[in-house]
Amino acid sequence: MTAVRVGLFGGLLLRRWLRAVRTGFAAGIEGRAVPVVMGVCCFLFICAVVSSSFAQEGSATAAGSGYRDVPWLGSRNWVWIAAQLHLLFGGFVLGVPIFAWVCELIGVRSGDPRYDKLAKEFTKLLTAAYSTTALLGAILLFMLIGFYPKFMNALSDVFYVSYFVYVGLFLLETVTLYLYWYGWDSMSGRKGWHLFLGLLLNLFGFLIVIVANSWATYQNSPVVLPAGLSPWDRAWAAAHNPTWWPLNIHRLIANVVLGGFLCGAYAGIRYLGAKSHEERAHYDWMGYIGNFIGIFGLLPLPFAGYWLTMEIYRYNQQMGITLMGGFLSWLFILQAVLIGVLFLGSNYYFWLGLAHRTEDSQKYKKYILGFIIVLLMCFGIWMTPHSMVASLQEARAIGGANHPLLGVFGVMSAKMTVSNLMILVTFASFLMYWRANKIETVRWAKAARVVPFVLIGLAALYVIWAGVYGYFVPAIVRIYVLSVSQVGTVIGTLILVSVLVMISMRGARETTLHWGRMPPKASYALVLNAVMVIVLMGLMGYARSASRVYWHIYGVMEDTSPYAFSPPLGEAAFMICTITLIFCLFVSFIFWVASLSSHGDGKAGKSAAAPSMVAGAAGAAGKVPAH
Amino acid sequence: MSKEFLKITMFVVLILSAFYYMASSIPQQASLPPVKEQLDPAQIKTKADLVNVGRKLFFGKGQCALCHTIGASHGARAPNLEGVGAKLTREFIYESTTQPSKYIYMDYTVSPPKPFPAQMPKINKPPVDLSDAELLAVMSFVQSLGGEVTIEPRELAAFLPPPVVKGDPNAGRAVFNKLECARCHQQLGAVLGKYASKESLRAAVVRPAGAAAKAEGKEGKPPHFEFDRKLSVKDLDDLMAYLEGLQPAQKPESTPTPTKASTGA
Repeated sequence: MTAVRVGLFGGLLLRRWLRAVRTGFAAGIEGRAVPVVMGVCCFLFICAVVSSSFAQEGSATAAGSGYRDVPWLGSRNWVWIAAQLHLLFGGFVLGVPIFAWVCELIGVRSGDPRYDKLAKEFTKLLTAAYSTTALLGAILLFMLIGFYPKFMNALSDVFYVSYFVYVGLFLLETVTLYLYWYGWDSMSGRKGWHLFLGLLLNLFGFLIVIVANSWATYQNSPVVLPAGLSPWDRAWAAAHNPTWWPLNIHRLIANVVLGGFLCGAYAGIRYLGAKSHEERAHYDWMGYIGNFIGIFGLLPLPFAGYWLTMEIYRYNQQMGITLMGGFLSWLFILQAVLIGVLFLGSNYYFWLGLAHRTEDSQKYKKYILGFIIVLLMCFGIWMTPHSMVASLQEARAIGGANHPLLGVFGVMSAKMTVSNLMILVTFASFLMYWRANKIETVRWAKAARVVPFVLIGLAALYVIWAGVYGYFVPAIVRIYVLSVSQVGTVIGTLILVSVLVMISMRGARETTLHWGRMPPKASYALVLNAVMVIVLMGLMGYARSASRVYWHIYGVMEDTSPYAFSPPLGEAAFMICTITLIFCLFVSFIFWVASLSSHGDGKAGKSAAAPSMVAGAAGAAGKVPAH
Repeated sequence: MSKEFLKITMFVVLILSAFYYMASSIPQQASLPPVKEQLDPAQIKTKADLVNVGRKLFFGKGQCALCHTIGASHGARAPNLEGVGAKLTREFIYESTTQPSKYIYMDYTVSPPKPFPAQMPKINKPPVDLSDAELLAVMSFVQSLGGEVTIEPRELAAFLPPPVVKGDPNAGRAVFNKLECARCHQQLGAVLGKYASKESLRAAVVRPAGAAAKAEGKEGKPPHFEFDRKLSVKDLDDLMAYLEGLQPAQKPESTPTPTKASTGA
């Protein structure tokens, strides 16, 4: 009977919410508060009903085992969904302010209003996603406390003082975000202060993520906590564990990548639905910037990942082997496929840009063909497994457990080499696009055109040499000397060439870039990139969690729940894909809500694109960096 | 826009389906928590038994075979252990497994030679966390790899659990009556059901002020009077045997002294 009453009341709330949505949106922007409030009420009601059933189900079991469970999906999967959604939203919310701030800074320095408008549009997406992130964080917390009370108790014993830091930072970030967003127009005359607010916003965001990272990394690489430490010292000692900073850096870069590609996908979708040429030009440009930011972050990301994995090996070789050589080793083949597609998708978008936005694009055809061949070869090698499941007959036919080809290409030396080569090729693609509409006017113009590609070629040769040499040295030399030198060479080349090109571009003449001419497949490439990044983050989150095997806190607190196992990759992929789809739909809804404000004032896309339809027009006046 | 959105959604579903298909097509392996097998030293009679147990631990709970191989192998990450039983002493094997970085080899492939620290975890600490008896079994297996096993099964006797002494329930009933327990514990059968284990019941008899009083809802009432001093170990064992034999809701077989409550006064 109670269930019927609850159902009826829930149905009533839902109907009212739907009605409020209709009336609220029809009434315009101001009316949106009504459905949002009703939606929150509806959600809280559902949470209350669900949580009371949790309490009834689980209270008896929690006292003995330290766990509560719910039927059907199970407690672990609920936590998985909430955690991954929170992390994805969190990544977006922390990544976007970084490049929004950079865009605003460029706008201030160059005097080009397009960048300021773009930064504002990025921030608009941020404000729409911010409250959802917080809500998902709260849901995750409630689930953890409800389902894993013993574990949360143990974690709180170590970290409870850091909760205050986290809450304090969260409040500061919220206040700063409100000031940054709502003060955008009113502070247009005091851009210095506004930029300072943006800087603070990023600082608080970064500090928030590293506090949360300390909890997650302590689970993977806990350190010994001597008795008698004060709560602050204890929390600090636990936070300062071996994988904390590698993960901080890795996530910081990954957040930028996620934010960039998501904004790119947003622009791609808006581009497809654009009604006017101005709108198309604006979203084409925004898509380009989003893809550029994604690529910009993607290039150093493998290095950060390498550092993190190296620290995991240093901390506990067994955990490292579980990751790279144990039951998770096939996961890295999937990772290779995802990253490979991401590189291909990003390059493809650059190439489409060259073909459709620039003039005289035919001359790039042969280079692009070369890039495709190299990328596909690297992709093939990267996704080559070290061993294959083979029948006895097959094993005899290939002469052992390892096929000669798999034995050569399936090892770390080959994979490090090809990942570095793919980075170099992508950088070369970008370089080509960067210079596509520019003619150097410096005296050493000819050298400026040749030297960057020579440097990239030399770096590629060194990377290949070190990769081959890696087969003839002990693993320790390969890991600590050759791989590091490969990474150093590529990073060094990227920085050196960028500086060189920037210097050579001073005073360059610019030709027209035709924004808004990209075919629809470019938008699909942007969406593909965004989906690849989301899946990749989900997959690597699973890897990090599964590397702890049956420990909540590795070697310290064992998982004794019925979910102490890590599911096989197929099952994990199903969860990851489902969550990715939920996230995409969630984000679409939020972005749609955010876009209503532009429909409301009726000038979003137009005003942003209005200053120049083609980069060359303003670029010729020396105002616009046309990349 | 809605048509475009639908197309994009279908595109995303297609990508995700392709990824799921690929992830399901590769070898599927779940990571299960290790089966907790308790090593029972009483079952190990011969050196061969000990070596067999050690072999199981080597390839199972100890996870040694993740890195070490027995015989040359393409994928070895740590020294090949073939024949090491003939080269290493028992003490060195113990030191290598419990303090892997105590003795550091030099790497002569570089000039000048550098220390080559072992990255092996201590196998008697978490996460591997072998017990002392298990450690001895693994050591015996390593010794058996080309050498003579010097560890005797009887050494494991040191790790046998203390023998369980069972009390006499009849003698326990006498103790129960002698102590006049029924003066206060009239519904003892129902109360006994509240104790999760024998150990907690025993603790409640000896130190009743906390858990026992709470379990019976008699917080604030006078606890037992120094039963841990009044009772001998045998008396306590007998009493426990008697209490364990009582079924829930079964009244103690004694003649309780009339109290105010029972007389209705």
